[in-house]
Amino acid sequence: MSDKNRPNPEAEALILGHFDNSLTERQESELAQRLATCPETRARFRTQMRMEGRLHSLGRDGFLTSAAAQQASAADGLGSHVEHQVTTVAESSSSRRIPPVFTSWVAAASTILLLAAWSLWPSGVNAASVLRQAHQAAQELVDRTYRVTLTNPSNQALEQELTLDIYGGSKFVLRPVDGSYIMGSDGSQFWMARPDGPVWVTSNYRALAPALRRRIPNRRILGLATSPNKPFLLDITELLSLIKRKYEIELINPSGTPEHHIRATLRSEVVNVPEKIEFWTDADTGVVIKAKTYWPDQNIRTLELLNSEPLNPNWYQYQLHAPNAEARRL
Amino acid sequence: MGYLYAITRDAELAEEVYQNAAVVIIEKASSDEPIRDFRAWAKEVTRRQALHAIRSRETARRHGRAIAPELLEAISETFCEHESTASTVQEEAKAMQKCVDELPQEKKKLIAMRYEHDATFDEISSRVNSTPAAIQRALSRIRKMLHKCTQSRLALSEGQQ
Repeated sequence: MSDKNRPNPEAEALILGHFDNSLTERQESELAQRLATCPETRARFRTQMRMEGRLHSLGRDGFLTSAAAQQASAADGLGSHVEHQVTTVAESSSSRRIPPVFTSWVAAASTILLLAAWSLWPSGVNAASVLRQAHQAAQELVDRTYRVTLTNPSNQALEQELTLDIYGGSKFVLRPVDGSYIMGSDGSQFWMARPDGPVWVTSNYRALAPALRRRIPNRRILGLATSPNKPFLLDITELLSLIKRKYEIELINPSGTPEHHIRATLRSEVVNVPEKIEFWTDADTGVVIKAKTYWPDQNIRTLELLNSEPLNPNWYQYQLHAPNAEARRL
Repeated sequence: MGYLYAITRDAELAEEVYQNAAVVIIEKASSDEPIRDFRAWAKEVTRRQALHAIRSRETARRHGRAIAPELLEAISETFCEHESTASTVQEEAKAMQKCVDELPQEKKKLIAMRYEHDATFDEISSRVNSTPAAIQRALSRIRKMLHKCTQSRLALSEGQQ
């Protein structure tokens, strides 16, 4: 948009005010009139509309916080480097004036004080820090294999066991133990295959479940692959992002234990998400060892870490699992 | 999604409508009935789904007041006349992402609080020890910066081609 086509500042303020939900009735009417009569305002509104959508998408996927955190840690790193340089200069200049024996004594006393403070200071572990550490660990570029069990106290027919391999939060392979299907993502596209059938491939996950439901009427065979309850909540990264956005969290076990146990309770009623989530992380690494999601229909999904051994580099591509199958795009 | 957020101003509702509209579009698109202008048709489906969701969810209860009907109509028309190509929109997304990455730390934190945690101006102001009005102004400035930066980047890449 060139300068001459840019809407005036009042129109821009109305547009931003609309997205802030802060316009009065009169201002809303004014914006409606401008949109109806001014092409520049319409163009600016559309740009803002796309921008708001993208910001919400980035936020929903946790990219805004992670980017801010990365920047902060980079800045911290820079800060500590600068600080280190300053300290070194200060030490070298002060050491000329203060006797070495005295500085050694001060250093020893400081160390003792620091150690005492360390042991008395309450640990910095809280629910938010555990969640943050778990999120970082889930994004590490390593293969992790989980056992997934689906249970329902009132309907044993719904019980299922699957294996889930995840890499860095974006690639996964999900396999029921009965071998009825296999689905996954190589990070850019999602795919699903059944024995002796084609491989269904799409870059839009939302298209996968409804399209499969239509093409393969026997839904029970597919189970999670066509679940309306976001099967992606099997993905630890997405599960943790969801907790951060919509749940109250509490740390259940006291600090000093080898595992942290977090309970997450939904803040307000939202459809298609679990009512309650519990997860356990390794206190040292932050890796999620176990997670349980409790759904409104009484379904319980449990993930348990089996191992973290490296898999074939092509493991997340459908060609490895269905080498002779015809690929059909959805 | 941007359009849905524009008329719902509710990230959760926008997401829900998006999913419902996607299901309807996929199911109807593969039926035998021919669709002349798929793009216009899909937009219309999305618009109808959104209007239906807004009515049924009583946004007035949640936001204090429902959006004025004439504004709702104007936004929908603005959305439906939009003719940008997928590649243009993709370029714009990439440019904006770079602009977000370049934001200073404190501005990025504000954006994260607003868009990732869906925090209100009141909530953000209490966290950063400021006033809601100041936060709203700051976020407006950041969004203007992002817009300007995105447009500059797009103009630059057009000039290079």
